[in-house]
Amino acid sequence: MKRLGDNHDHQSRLLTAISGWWRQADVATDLSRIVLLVLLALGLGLIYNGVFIWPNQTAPPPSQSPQNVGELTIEHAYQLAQRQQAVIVDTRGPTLYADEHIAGAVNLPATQFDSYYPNFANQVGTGKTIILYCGTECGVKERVAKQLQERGYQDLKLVEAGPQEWAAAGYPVATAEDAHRNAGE
Amino acid sequence: MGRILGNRQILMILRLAVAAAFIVASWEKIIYPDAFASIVEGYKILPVAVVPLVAVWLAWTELIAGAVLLAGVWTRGVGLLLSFLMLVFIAGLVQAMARGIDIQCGCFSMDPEAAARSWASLWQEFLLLAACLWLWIGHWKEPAGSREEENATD
Repeated sequence: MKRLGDNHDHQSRLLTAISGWWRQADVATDLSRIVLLVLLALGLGLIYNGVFIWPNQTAPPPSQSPQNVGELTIEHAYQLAQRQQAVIVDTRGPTLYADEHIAGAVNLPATQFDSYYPNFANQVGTGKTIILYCGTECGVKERVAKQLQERGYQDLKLVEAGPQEWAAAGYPVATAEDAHRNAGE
Repeated sequence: MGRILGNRQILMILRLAVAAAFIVASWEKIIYPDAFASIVEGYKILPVAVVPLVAVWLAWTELIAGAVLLAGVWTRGVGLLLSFLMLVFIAGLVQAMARGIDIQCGCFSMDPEAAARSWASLWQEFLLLAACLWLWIGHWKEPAGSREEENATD
């Protein structure tokens, strides 16, 4: 027959087993060292990659910066694109592009430049004005601009905006839903 | 089972292999933090504002954990940490695929030719998780911080 004290005994044994395991496995020391390692990683990352983290320092180093590339306002970029005087290029990854992008923009991801470039070069000649974007506080578009410059594209512009800023300005964006809807038609 | 899990030679091979895997995986993430952050953002889990910080922290954690493993110290603790990280990675991959998000893993490479993830390709992540767990469990009874004695027999 179960006695009231039995539960207390079970709990005591359980606590004893847990504390025994804790001491045997020296979990506290392991956890403290994990915390130390995590803090070290954070510290080194902040120091080394500080240029990337802080928003006003997202520009790539000079060796990776394009030369003589101007910056446009959203309005000016839109006007050029509307008159078909420029091609807008999204330099973010394909997932973000598929999710939402400036309507009419061509995807040329910085992370997959080599595989996307041949198709891009077939569509867009080197004489075209190209407007590159990746969002605000993002240095990826500069890298793509540099690579395009190395391949003969000279008329390059940057716009410090992404689809959200574009939509906030009242200009059209394309979303994954639009793509699915169009595919279903 | 205990003899296999605690076998010194197997543990040494696993330790070196896991260390190499994480050091190699971390390198491109450190060199191209914005590309890796773009991938992390693609998982649609974290608020955009913290993505850069998390991406940088993850990359450096992998590098330091790999280096510590290579040195053969804190193996159990690092095994625990890396097991936890792998669980988080796998959970992130699974939820992204379940939601139909077409993603690059960003686990081992920023390679532009890296294919989007599929369910069948998760085996690499599970293999690495198993290795990290083995390292953790295999060093269970060692005092924390002891250096591995590669010549010791089981």
